[in-house]
Amino acid sequence: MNRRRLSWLLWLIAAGCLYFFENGTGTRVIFAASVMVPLLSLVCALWCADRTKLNLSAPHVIRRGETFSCRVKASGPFLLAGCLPVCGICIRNNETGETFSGPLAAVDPQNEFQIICEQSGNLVISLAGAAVEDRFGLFSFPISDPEENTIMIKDPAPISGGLPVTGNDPDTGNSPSVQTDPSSCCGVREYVPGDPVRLIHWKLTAKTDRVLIRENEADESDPGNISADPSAGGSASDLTQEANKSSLTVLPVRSERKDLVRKRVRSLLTGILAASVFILCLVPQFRYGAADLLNRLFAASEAANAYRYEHFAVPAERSVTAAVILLSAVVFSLLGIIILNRDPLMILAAAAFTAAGQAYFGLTMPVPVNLSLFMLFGVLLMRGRRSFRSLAFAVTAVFITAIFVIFRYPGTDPWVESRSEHVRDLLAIRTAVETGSDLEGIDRPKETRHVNSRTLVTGEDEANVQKAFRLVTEDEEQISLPEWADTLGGILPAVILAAAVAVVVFLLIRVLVRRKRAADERKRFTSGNTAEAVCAMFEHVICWLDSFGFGSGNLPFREWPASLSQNLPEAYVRDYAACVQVFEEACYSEHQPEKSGQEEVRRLLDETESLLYARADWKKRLKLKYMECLYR
Amino acid sequence: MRPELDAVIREVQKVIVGKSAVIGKILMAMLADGHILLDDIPGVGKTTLAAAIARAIGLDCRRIQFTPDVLPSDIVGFSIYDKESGQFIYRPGILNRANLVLGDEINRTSARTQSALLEAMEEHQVTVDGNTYPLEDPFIIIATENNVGASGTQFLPYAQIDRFLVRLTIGYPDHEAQVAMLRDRRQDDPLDRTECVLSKEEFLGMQQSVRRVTVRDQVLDYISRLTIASRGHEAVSIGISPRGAIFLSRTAMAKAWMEGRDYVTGADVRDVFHDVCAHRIILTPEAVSAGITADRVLDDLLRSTENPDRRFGN
Repeated sequence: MNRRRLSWLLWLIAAGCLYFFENGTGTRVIFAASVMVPLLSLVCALWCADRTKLNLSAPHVIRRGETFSCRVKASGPFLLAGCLPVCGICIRNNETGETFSGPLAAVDPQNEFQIICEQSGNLVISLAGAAVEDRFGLFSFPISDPEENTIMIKDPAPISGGLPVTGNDPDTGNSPSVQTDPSSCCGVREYVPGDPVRLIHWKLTAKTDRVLIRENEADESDPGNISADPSAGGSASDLTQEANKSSLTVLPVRSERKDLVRKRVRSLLTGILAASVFILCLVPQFRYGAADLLNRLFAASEAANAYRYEHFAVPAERSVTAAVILLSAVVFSLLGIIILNRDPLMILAAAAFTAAGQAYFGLTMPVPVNLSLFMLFGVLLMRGRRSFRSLAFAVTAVFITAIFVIFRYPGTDPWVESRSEHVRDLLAIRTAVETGSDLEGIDRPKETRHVNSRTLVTGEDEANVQKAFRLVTEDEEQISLPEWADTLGGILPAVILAAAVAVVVFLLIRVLVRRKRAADERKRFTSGNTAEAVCAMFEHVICWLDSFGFGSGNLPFREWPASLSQNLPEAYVRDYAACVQVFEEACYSEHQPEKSGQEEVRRLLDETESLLYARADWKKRLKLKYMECLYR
Repeated sequence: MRPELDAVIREVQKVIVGKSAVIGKILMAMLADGHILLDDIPGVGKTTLAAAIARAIGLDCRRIQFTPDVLPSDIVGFSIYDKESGQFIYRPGILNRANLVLGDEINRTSARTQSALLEAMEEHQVTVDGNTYPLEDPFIIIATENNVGASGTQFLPYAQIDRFLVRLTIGYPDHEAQVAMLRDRRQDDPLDRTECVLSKEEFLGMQQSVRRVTVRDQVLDYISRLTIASRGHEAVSIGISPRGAIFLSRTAMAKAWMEGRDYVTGADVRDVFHDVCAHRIILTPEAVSAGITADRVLDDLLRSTENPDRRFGN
């Protein structure tokens, strides 16, 4: 199974567990968003797959040995912001038959790459494996008809001047002049495809029966193959291998120097942060601060959930501020490492750790904090460049989910709550039995208690321990809703219902209008004007054939029988061929065709409808009846 | 194919064996009152073909062998001073007395002589010393050019190539045809056995009928779209001229009439498109070096232009 899909599944399980054990609006939003946002992105990708076009722009003519750049740009509907077009590149030299293919990157919204080419002839660049993926790389849907471009490679501009000659020619005592006999300067070698034709040594070629080329120093210094380091690309090893095989190199462009610097800075910072985390962990103040924090968490959890923990021993004099500073420093460093490296596994691990911690202690952070943190993780997990569009998509999707959940399902769900308490009890009993500790207090009261964030900071137990169950579920909202939220919550279902009804009505009207138009069309079949009737009926036949894919595009109708006979019976094709002549007479000549011709075309129309309708499956039949309205 | 024309083709096939398609195309061009450019290798029977057609239709056939020193006056005639009457008398040239003129190796002669043909081709008249002498109807020129053996030849300029209705090639006969041809020529020349199956007047009548063939607006629109698309094509530097569009429509009319119809369809235009327009398109140097031919460009145009058949339903 795809690694990303597996990660998503695992994350859903973690978010589900978080929601299960810490049942509340915030965790519900997180779980819902974890499902909805990738799903929305998938839907966008599905919608955009057929409607996206990848445009490849490349120069038409280049010179051998030059570096030129090509650009791939994705254009599609508005929903393209929610998904990611990807493609690979395939370059083929028509003359030598060499092919080079490699993965590219995400086209978000455009990608540029550079090509160094030491071949000559014609290159055909095409986009291979073009597809639209969702933002998290879970599923991909191929795009059909990727573009192809042909580039003509000319010989490089001739080197001006001859070889450097110093002093007089020792044999003849002449002053340096242009070399007249080319073969005396240096050797000749056999011609290989790709060499410039102007260097062919015609005299020697005529004498022998091989084609020979003049070789001078300038040519020798040209490297036959360039294998540069495509460090900015995805699979560097693939590209290098391919580049070594052919005299063609593809480099994804940003400027190489900038990329290298960026990478170095990134690794430097990561190293610094990791080192600082390690060093801080050794500082005693940090350890005491961490222990103190854990003690507070234990205390809050015990108060809220009636668990029992072993508290850490902490020395009395300790500086709270120092501890807070150190702890924040460590947390921010860790966050910084995650943001810098954007390794999906690290991000998922951090998210799972945050979720597991909240579930373990039975305490949740306030909803805005939780939401922002998990949204940050989600944005970091999205593939492609972090453009404004992708961010806008993520924020919109999360916002919509949050609004829906917060207004429709706020608060705790009693059913889930009781189940999760039951599971926690079982786990606690199990643990107690295994470790041999006492079972007192495990048999717990039925109330559920939640702790506000304030208790974490002040260490006071402000939770209303004695609240009754029902009261807790009504009063305990982790955000306080304004009064108009209730009315909005009531209106929202009505609005949705109205929208659904409107959509249904609109579709109905559309179908009715189309059927009326089709019925009017059919009236023309029996019109007194034979030519008009024949034209209308034959056009109807063509519509049927096109709708089943038997049409031949721009070919004249009289040349269709050849392709029709591959799919349809001989008798039908004969009738069709006979009717084409009637149609041509009706359309192109000044006189009306015979009535018998009109009858023939009418019979052809009936035959077409019955033949093709019988071949259609139920989906196609519905389409024919109600969408295209070809069938009565 | 109309039976009269079938008879002509059969008669000509006695002389040139196995080339009924080319003979049909030449007849089509003649019916459309246009001039024909035969671009071919030497020795495949261009002169014989022209002579055979002329005999079968009862036309006067004359042949001009173009050499670099042929003068315009040889072709169009000249005025000479007559001592007895004291006046200048016009002596007609080859063109005045012929219906079917075969101009061999037209690209071997000077530009002056070539341009002397232009007025004759366009307007069916010649002007000598300010006097205009009309030429006899029908007047058709079949010009041949060999591009092989380039000594002394100049390429025919584009403006002149554009004036020819179609450019055709005959090509080599296949094995059976060549055997039959050799068999026929053992004793005598089959050209002598060719009979006249169609009179000149009948032929003129046919030309008139061709002009009366119906062409609907949709077909004219199609021709116009094709020519305009050819001018904008990326591999083309000079596309099909308006003269080319006129010739295209005339040839389509001739083709439709030959098939026995009195209306032109979109398929007729497609069928004659290559013959009429292949020599009118000048490709860009990049296209030439990339190996793109005019035929491929024309196929491209036909594929991408919407067929007029589809425009009749509304």
